[in-house]
Amino acid sequence: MVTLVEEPVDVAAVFRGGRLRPTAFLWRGRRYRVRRVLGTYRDLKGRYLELYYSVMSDTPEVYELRFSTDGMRWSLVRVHSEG
Amino acid sequence: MTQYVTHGLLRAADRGRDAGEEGRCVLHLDMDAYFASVEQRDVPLYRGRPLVVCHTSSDFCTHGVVATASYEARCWGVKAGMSVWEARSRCPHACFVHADIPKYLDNARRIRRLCERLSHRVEVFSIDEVFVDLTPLLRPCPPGEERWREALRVGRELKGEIRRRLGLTASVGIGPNKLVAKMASEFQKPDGLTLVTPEQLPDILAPLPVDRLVGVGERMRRHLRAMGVETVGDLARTPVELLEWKFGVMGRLLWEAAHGRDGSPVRAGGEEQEVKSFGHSLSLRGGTRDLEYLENTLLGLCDAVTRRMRREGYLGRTVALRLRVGYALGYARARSLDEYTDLTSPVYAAARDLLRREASSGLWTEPVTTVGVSVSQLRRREEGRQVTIWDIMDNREERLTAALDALRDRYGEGVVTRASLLGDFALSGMNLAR
Repeated sequence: MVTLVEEPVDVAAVFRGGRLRPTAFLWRGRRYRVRRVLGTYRDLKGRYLELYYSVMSDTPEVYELRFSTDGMRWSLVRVHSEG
Repeated sequence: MTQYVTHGLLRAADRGRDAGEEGRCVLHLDMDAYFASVEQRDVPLYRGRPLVVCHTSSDFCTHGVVATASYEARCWGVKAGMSVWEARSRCPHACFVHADIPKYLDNARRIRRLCERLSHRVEVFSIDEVFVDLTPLLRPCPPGEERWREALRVGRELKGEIRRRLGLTASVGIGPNKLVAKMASEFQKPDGLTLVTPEQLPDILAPLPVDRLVGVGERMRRHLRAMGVETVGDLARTPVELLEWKFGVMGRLLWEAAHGRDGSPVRAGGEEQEVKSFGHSLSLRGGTRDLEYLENTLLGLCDAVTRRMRREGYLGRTVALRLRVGYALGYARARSLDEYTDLTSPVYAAARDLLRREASSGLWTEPVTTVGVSVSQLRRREEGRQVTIWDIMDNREERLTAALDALRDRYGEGVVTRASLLGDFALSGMNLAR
């Protein structure tokens, strides 16, 4: 099941080897550690760059995070879950 | 595990039959169930399960068209182009997700860059298919067995790179030209690697059904069948004069293809490719007979089509309206404009007139489930269009359009929209003017 969320989240991220990687995020008061980054892609919205990350935490759900250079903001876009 | 088939690799002599193709070596890369594979890579929950990727404007993929089905879903008869409704009836336990075109485009760019490491002559045939001209790379190898062996090695390495860097599998075909390479990649899927040398062409092509040839669709197949042509071998034995008389230029191309001949070059990026039309269509949940709603939707589609035309630098003259009534009846109506244009108003005016005529035709025995518009008969903007007195007297639409384009270039496609489109269409989630 895919749940569209589109909510701002706080994200801890690391810059390494010229790449940006999220390491944890805070959503609705709960902290999620990023165990794996499954896939990434980038998209241009006008002159702004958006970086997307499909990540797993400690449960089977997959969270899709987005970093936008428009305001330098992180968002949780959607959640893929069983059911 | 990679499966591969070599045809004639160990034969002593191997030279192209036609002087123009001698020594050519073309690779065709075809990503396996591309959209679905990307989704299964990114979401482990979908792996090993039927997954259907949909083009749809509905939030829960209740209607629309299947873009791609995973191999697990294909076992249930689900395939690209099928309606979501039919896919759900065939495989109700499948996972249905929206197509995420930006994601697939970005991955396709990475795939193209991997191909460009092999050769500067890389042609992106579609979002999941690439042609690579290996001829320059293989020139140091003597023609024949050694060259084909090296080509196989290159193909294997490319597949490996794509798997390592992107976690995706591809099927590769290698041959003396694009036509043969593309057919070869279809012989072994998924994760295949197939070589077809010129010597093998008659044996391999002859027994194939004629619709396996690129360019032979259902209509052409019916025409050929009426002539007693069922296989590629039948087509090759048909006099080319007869095919030319029946099908014109296409007839000779078919005859050449039946003999495995294709002199078309691999067009590197940046080279001019002929664009024939620009179009967009939208599936409508449940269908509708509401003419005002259809006209509104059509307006948004015309906006998206002309926006892409302006971005690519084209003007067009023939406007086609495409409709699907119910789930079975699909048809199109077209009209040519007096002038070439890239503006929404004249395109929409023509499309809307066609729509109104169809609405009163009595053909709509069921609701309209898909509406689309396309513009063809194109010319490049620099070729110019005839400026009329009306353009000089009133160029407000041109100035407004230019201002809107500038806003969208800067802030993204959704920054401004028509008030009449605020509603279902704007919330469709489809960014049409990419």
